[in-house]
Amino acid sequence: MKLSRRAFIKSQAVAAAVSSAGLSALAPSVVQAEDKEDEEIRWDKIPCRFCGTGCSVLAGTLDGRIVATQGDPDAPVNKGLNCIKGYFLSKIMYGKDRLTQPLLKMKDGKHHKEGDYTPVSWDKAFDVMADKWKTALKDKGPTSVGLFGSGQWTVWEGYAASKLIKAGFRSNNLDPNARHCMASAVGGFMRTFGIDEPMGCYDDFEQGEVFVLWGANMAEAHPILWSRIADTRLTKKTSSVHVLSTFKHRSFELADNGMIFEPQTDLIIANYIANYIIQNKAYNKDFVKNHVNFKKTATDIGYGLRPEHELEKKAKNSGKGKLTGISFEEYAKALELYSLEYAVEHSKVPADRLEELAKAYADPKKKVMSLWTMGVNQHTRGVWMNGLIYNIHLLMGKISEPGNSPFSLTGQPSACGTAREVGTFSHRLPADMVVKKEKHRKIAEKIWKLPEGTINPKPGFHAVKMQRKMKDKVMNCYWQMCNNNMQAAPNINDELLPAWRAPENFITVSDPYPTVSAVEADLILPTSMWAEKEGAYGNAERRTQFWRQQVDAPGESQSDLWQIMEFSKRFTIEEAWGKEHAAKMPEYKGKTMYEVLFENGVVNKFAYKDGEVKDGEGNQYQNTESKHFGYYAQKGLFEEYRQFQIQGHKGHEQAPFDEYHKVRGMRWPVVDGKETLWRFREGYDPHVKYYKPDAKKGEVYFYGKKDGRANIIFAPYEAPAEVPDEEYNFWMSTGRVLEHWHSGSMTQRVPELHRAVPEALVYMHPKDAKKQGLKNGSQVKIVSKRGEIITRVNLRGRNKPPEGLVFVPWFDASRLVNKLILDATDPLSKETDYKKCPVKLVKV
Amino acid sequence: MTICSLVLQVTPNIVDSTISDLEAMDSVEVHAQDDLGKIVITIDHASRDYCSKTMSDITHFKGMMSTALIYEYQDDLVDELIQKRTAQPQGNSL
Repeated sequence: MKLSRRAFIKSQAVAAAVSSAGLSALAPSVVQAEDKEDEEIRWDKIPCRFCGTGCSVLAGTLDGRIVATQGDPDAPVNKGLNCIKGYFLSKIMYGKDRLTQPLLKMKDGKHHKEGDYTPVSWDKAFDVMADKWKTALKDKGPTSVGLFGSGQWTVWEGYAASKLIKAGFRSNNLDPNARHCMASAVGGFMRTFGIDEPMGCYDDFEQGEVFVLWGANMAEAHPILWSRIADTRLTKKTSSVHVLSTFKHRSFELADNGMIFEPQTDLIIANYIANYIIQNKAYNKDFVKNHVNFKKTATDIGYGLRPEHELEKKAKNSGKGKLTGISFEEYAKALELYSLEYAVEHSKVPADRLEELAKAYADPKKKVMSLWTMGVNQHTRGVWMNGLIYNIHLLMGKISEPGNSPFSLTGQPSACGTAREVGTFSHRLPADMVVKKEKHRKIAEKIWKLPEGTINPKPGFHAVKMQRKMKDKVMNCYWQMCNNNMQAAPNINDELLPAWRAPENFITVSDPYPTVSAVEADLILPTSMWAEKEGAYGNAERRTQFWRQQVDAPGESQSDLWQIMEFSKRFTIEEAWGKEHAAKMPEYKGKTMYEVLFENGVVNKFAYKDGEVKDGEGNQYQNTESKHFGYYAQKGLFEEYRQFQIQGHKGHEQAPFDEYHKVRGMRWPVVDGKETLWRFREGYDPHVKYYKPDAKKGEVYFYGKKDGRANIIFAPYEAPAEVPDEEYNFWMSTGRVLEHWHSGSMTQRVPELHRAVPEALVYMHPKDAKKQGLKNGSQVKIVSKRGEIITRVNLRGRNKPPEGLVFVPWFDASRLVNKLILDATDPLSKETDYKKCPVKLVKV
Repeated sequence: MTICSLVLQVTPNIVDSTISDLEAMDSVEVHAQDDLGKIVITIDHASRDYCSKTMSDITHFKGMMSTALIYEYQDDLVDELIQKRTAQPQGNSL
């Protein structure tokens, strides 16, 4: 059949959509490309650059530019679908203000804080930067330098950064921006299961019946996963959707049971459900007897503020996470306070709605999937709250099997794969190991070929503490990669801004664009993006996905991996470790840090011939880093990283490097070439037999804990750090909108997206607006104790807050809503609460 | 020329009215639907801006539960690249 070019393309578009939707009607017959140039477009798989869902897209490249994208029909995650942001994926790399050369603030030919940005060579940039780092190291030791990275780094970038800071500089001052989004989830997993990341997977969307959103707005933040839930809800008669939030949003469109609760009372609601289950004797007695230990957590633990803050001084157990064993009866007793009446009174959710939710969990025949992200994690009791959701699933035994799934969603494309699995947190090492444990340090030192005692046993500064320590001049050199902390960090007027502007401190920001962070740095390093490098991401369901470098980066841009490895060439091992420690390994004498870390016979093991990276169809791809360093750097780093999975605690295994280029990802643990869909249950997870050889089919064994039992941890309600008062009389929550991702540094540079949603508005209740003399579109100043922004009121938008609460998205660089937020964190996870900030509104 | 296709999911009881609304939009064509509220459309317009604005508008329709983009093609960019290539000596592409 001959079609015109236009008709042909349209028929392809329709065919792809019809097949993705699972519809057959009107599907046009498959036709082959008619035009020469269509044949010349090279198509290759690549995971999406945005959220933690991990959709795969097909990127069409012509003459070194990505010209088209298509939902990947072979991808199990998105089955050919893409969200609206996917439409703009091909455009994020082509913003007009893309940085193409290093820029140093200079005056009279030298670096100067008050100077102007001046283009310099990479050599000059790294000379100046290394000089600052060497001075700091000499004067104050390894804790005076640090790196703030990202859940958007590729797996090997995170791994190389971890090695650079922990092995190279012997500092643990490495933290990812995932501290602001996933740290509470990690804390919850480690306390309850002793091993990170969900036991279930996305297959639970089709296997499940009841879906409960705890504070998440999946319709806007995880649209593709939401469409899978919508499919199940509309095709399975017994299914239902429950949505809990502090304001009404688009996910309520699908909700059978929508619930608006008072901020922080999620702690009460979760305890009420556990209490309901016990009071009605609905709990799974066998499961509780055989697979669970009961604990209570230390209470009155403060808010992760500076130690001299009043609230911290008042707290009895500031920062404490101690768990004490209790009996089932003691646990049941502790829950008694959380009656239906109590929950209704405090949460303001109607009784019938709460009961409907509790009944869904308590029905042994109903399969329940709980889902949450920032509402639960960005919470001064976020670790507790993660645990309270697990308590409910563990009481019912609704876990580790298809459809029964407490599922912590992720916000960034590789918060799991990079930040968590690789261990780029200030207290962690790869594969769930921690710097505090001698055994773990020894494993790391052996794999990294380091003298004993190289790794510092003291955790480094976490994201919020780094800014405090820089303001206090304890830490002087800071390198920020792949994130925009000036727009993300809390309370920047009091902490981050003075820290960065202090003359003693040297700030380097690596970014593709002049973000609000970059333009406050001493040195800006132009950085390759996503499709401009070979990469790997790990999504929320433990799926590791690889991609090849599709196009070259503009100008002199280099990837974060290149920058990390190249920077390490600037230090001799004696300069980095001190002469005394370096002397423990005489064979390293006179070597550079680069030679010790990366030319160690493992990372540089695999040869790279230019153009060697090929896909199954023989297409060739560049690999800028490998060409530069002379070996297949990504492969060497990944294979070395896999040693942590092999030599450490079993349960984190990934497949060999080459396997991932052939598939649409695999979910770890990958054992004998097979991925694992549900963990901790014999029949699904091969490790159960390893840890408990006599395990019967279907038996659960939580092997992250020594005795194979998960913890049900009682935690009470405790108030937020600040609550509205007469002056600051509104709650303010921040979050995302569908069109923009994170701080908008990519999506705001796509003209169409910027025009569609140019600025962050304040969404509020019409009655509140009327009381304040405001109308739709009115200008208003939003003021907290720490700062203010001016924006416009929206009364008719997608978000409909209840009276007393306003919502402001955070993507807008011209309105830094983060400066309003208190730097209060969960004292255990150190994750900031971005959802509960008292503010006042002033008409302007 | 920009052509894109989308799968929409609406509340099943408003499929018909949503389709009427969609058909009233410039450059939007409805290609398939089912009883559960799935609708396949294309947007075919000279301007990519128009396509993105239309998508955004559709996303905020009442009862719209999800809008998923499946395919997009920008012809102008391809044409521009091909023109550039013929204007330059061969051999400088990837």
